[in-house]
Amino acid sequence: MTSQIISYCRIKNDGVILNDRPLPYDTSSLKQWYQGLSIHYPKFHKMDRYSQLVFLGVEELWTQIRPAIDFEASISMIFANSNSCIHTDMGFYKTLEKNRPSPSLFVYTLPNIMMGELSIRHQWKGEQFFFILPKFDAIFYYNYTNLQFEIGKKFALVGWVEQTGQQLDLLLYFISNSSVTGPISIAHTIEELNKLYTI
Amino acid sequence: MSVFITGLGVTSALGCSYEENLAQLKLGNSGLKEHVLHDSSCIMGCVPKSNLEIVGAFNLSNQAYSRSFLLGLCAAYQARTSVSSKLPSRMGLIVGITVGGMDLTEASYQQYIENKEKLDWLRLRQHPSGMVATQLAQFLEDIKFTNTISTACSSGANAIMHGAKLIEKGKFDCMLVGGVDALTQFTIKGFQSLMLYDKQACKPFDEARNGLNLGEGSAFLLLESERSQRATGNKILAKLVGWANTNDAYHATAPSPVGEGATRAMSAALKMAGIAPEAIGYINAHGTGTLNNDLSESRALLDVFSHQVPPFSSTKSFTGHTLGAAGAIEAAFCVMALQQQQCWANLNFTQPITDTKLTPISILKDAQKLNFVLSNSFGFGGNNTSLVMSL
Repeated sequence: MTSQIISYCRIKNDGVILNDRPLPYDTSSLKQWYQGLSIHYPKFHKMDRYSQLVFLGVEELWTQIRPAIDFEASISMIFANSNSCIHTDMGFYKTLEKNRPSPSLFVYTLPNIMMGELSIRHQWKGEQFFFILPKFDAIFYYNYTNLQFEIGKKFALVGWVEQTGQQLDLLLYFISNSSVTGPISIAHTIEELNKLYTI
Repeated sequence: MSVFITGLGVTSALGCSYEENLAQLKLGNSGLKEHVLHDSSCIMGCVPKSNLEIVGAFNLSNQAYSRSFLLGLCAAYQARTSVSSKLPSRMGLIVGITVGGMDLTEASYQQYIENKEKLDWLRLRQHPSGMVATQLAQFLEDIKFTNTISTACSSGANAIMHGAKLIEKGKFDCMLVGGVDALTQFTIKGFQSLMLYDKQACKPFDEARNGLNLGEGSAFLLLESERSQRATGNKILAKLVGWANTNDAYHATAPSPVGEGATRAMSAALKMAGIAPEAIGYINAHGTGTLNNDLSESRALLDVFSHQVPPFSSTKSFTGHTLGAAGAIEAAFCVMALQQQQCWANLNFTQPITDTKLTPISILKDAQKLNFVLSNSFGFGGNNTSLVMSL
């Protein structure tokens, strides 16, 4: 079985691309994007901006493939960035300075909370990893995803999820190592991963 | 396939060595006391040694070090040197941690704001979580690989599990694994803001429990493969025979109310160890003292042990919740329990939780025959880890 990227979402300041098509959302207004999805998920409004971003991106790419995937399927999550959740850390520290520490920000000062939010939303209980890497590293992603397939996993949600200051740089993609297909089919290779990242 | 624990080092509010920690556990003396950190005073578990004392003891150069590194150094050095024979020349180091060198960042930042002193880059450079492992590797010999795990309160246990996996897969014959965390304003005020910080000493598993107290500390275990242990002849303190990590997929910070992920973690670790639940003679529970954790953990215990729950306790009533270090310190306490054939007390307990009616051991208990012990560590994000150790 060769593995295929069957759905992806690229998020940058100048726009969102879902499976080669631009989406009509402005990343400066996540609320508008959320409303465009026409879902009812009140927890969304409690999340920090970082979790909201990843949540929306995953929602988009997952909607494209969900019907084809068995509800019980184990989905591995492999995420990375180079600055953890520094944006929220700094937000929390500002509230500390004012001597009014924000509980809602404190909760999100760990990147595994963002992954926890995804697990809760989709009831994913498979393997999950969040790595701190110097920069986007297609070789690392490629090898790590294949390790998951070697131990018998069929699906992986992989992401480079970076938010520093106002700068957004997110690439989320879903890989199938099974007969399940999606709206797109890109060979899972290092070259293709680098191409996706440069979109 | 066995993973042997042959070395151990612990630093906590109970003291800076294996012997000091053991003595206080036996005496039932808590290390929790009222302390002042920056502008707030509350009950915490402070290691009874200043940064200066540690710098002096290790003859370190005259620069500022993060407290996380210094506490980690005490424990890692003890673990590394507690074995007499020469270790394999290729060792790995895994550190579980949450705050990194944040204590130093906070102090530097305060000085910067107050005195407009120039920011000291050398200090800020110690901020990232991964820096502690790098600094430890520079100080300790033969470390050829380092990794850092930060999964909130299960970090220390996950570091041990990761090291055991690397030995199991034959990647390394010897691993130094553990956890460390220092106290910071960031975490103390954060937990206070979540209304999870008890103003008094925590009362794990008590009906009147009202939250946790934070603590600082570190523990490291020296893990060896069978091949390595045969070559070194190091004394086997205990074996790591089962481990599992699961995800709740329930809530960002609260555990699943029925303890679903905790149940799966304990069950899977027992299965890997190849033992029935009744073989467990002592459980070192996660037992933070928060309303949510203790109730859901109790339910999970009832689930896994079918209402025949073995003697259990939360030693966080001695050390406070040491976050990234907790899983490692408690694994070390489990090794001590096996070695001493004793189960540690759960302090400050008076009345069982109405719903679950579980009573932890409230005073030191001599065990008849303690063969297997279980240690639980559950973290924010619904991350649950259970470790099974045996004699």
